[in-house]
Parts: sequence; C-alpha cells; structure tokens
Amino acid sequence: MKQIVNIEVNGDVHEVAAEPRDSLLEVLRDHLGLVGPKRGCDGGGCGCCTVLLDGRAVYSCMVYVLSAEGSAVTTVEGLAEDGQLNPLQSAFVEAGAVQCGYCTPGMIMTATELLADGEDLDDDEIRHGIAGNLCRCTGYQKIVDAVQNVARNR
Amino acid sequence: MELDGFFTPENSDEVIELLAQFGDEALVLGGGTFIHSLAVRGLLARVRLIDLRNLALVGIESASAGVRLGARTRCAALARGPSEDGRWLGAVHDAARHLPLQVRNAATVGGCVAAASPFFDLPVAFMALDGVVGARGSNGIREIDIEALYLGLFENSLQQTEFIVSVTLPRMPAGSASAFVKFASNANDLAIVSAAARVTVDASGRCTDARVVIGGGVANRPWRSRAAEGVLQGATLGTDTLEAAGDAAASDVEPLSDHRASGRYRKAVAGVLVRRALTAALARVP
Repeated sequence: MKQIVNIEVNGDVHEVAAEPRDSLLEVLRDHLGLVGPKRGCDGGGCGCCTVLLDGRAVYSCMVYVLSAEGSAVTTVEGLAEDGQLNPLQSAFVEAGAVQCGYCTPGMIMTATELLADGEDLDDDEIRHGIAGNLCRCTGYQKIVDAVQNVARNR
Repeated sequence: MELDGFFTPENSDEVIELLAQFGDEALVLGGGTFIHSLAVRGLLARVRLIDLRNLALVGIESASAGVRLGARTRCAALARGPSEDGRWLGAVHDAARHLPLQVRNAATVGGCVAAASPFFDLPVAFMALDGVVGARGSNGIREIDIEALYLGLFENSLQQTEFIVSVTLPRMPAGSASAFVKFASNANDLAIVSAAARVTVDASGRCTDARVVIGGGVANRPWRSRAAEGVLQGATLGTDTLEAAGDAAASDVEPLSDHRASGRYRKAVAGVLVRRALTAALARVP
C-alpha cells in the first residue's frame, strides 16, 4: 500500500506517494524525472546513484524512500547556479575527468561531501573518499586531479 | 521481496508491539544497507520494515566506565580518531574507515551488529573491545556480551520482541590500545579476512591482557581466538611472540570456502592479519 512521503529535493519540497519497497533512487528518477543519479548495480557497490541526503553522500539505491521522510536531498541537478556549472563541475570538464559520463554524477556528489568541510585533502584522502564510486573509463587520475584542483583553489 | 508495510513507531513499546504482531516477518530498519543487499538478491520473503527513526538512539556518550554508542548512530560518526586518550578505541575507528563513505553515512551501529554477519568489520572491532549489546524487550533492557549475540551465519540471539538500542565498550585500563586490519579484493568489498587486536601492556612491557578476533569468513561468526590470546598473555610482545600468536590464530580456525577465497587461503591470511593487527595495536600503546 502506498504511503505519502515529503522530501525536499534540490530546494523544492515534493509530496510523493511511494510503495514501502521504493528506493530513493526510483523516486528521484521515475517520479521526479531527475535522471542524474544513475541505476548501475542497484546494490550499493558502484556509486553512480550517489546523492546527498541531509548533506551526506549515500547510495540512493539503498535508501528506502519512506525512511527519508522530511530529509533534504541534493542531486547533481541541484549544483549548477543560474545555469552555470559550479566550480567542481567545471573542474571535471577542465581536467577531462569525464569520459562515458555514467559515473560522473555520483563522483561529483561524493566529492561534494569530501570538499564540504573546507579542509585540505591530499590525493590519498581523495582516493579513499571516492573508493565507493567505480569508474571504468578514466583510471581515476583525472578525477582525483579535478577534485584536487577545487580543493587547492578555493 | 514482498515488502508489505513500513512502520515508524514513536517509542520502544510500539516497536515491541510491532515485533510481536508480525513475528518473523518483522525487520528492524537502521540504515537499510544490509536489508537492501538481501532484498536485491531475493533473499527476503514477506517483510514489514520497522524504522527506528523516531527513537532517540543516536549519539556517542563517553563516561568513565566506557563509551556508549546509540544503536542509530551512523558508522560515519566512528570514523574519526582515535584521539590521544582514545587509543584503546583504535580498532573501532579503523573498522569504520574501511566502509565506503556512502555506506558509512547510512549504516548504523545497531544494524551492523544485528546483521550477525562474520564479513562485517565493526563487530570484529567491538568484540575485541568486549562490547556489550543493549537489547530492549518488554522487560526492559537486557545486556548481552557481543560474543554471545552471534549464534551463526546471519543468526543472532535476540528474542523475537527484542531490538538493539546500544553497544557499550567498557573503558580499557592505561597501557591499552587496539587496531583493526582488513584484507579484501577491493576497497568496496566485504572482508576476505579481517582481524582486530587489543593489548594491555604494563610498565615493564609485559602483556597483561589481550583480545584477538578474526572476521571475514574464517568462521560463521566473528571468531575470538583464545589460542592466540593464550600466547600473548603474560608475554613480552616481541616479533617472535606476535608471529607465534598469528600461527596460533591460523591453527585455531576452520575457514569457509566461497567465491572470494578458499578456506586454505583464508587460514594463511588470518595468521598474517593477526600479526599485523597486533603490531598496529602495539604501535599505539602510549
């Protein structure tokens, strides 16, 4: 039986009727049309569904949407400001950290949390931080470079 | 999975009522990461989820007797440290850091313990610290030694109408430190083998107390190696002793074989990891 859940997504409050089994990812993609978060493994292993839930990176495929009642969600669609890419998104473009692009929204959301507290990050910390996100194209170095560029230049 | 109901009880009594009402179909939801991983593999039949989010079970309370972790505390809260006076907790911090960020931010202390999986990291550390699980039932809170919580693979000793509200780690005496190490195929996978060690060393360098716990499929639950602890107790912890403790631990287990590794391989790795965990713990002794 469907239940009503209220979640704030990228600043807008939504009231969604969801089945108990529905994941946050399903609601974001299928109910709200936000296809930035991707369905990869659907089992908490690849990271391309990563979103911020109350500011913390989570696998949205593993979050039952009814448990997210009253939470604030940020997807990659919520990062651009006035139609301009934010500094992290721009850094991914400039560093060539995007190839097929499938992992990119999740990578960027994970990196957003890594960069959130404003502390310096060494490359090891960045690599450790994105360990829950798989990329099969870039070999990771350019992704690390992109995150490091933002960390250094802020 | 037929997920037939999602409940958000307001207090412990309501949780217990739901557990009584739905029996085997009831599952208590912490962060949901373990439940989801069972569901996607088709391992859950009919399920009613009981979300504990309205219960105030979040937080880390430090007191002279020890540290009490609320069951809904996210594993991420344990990933920082250890602080200068918290070296005895080192294994807990190590284990929390091995979880991918996205799992650490969702998974809870209570959930990772209740899952009764030998492949999870934090329970191995909790066991090395003599953790005590607080289980709330209709007669109040029952304290269960974490070793006694584990009956077998995915099988815990909670009664039908009990749920976990806390894990308490008793403060270890001066001269104590602990560490956790893990061997896995990649940074995001479950442990092939893991090991946690805790030592207490007196002023003369003699070991007065030790715990050695091995996880990751060396048994159907986290395995406390009393054989390895026997080697360490009363000894001066030099290279030879640590080596002997590792050998004793490896001889002590009959590991599982699965798609991650053969039992024989796990047995060899267990000895190495016990030695490394002990070395890391010793390096932290103030």
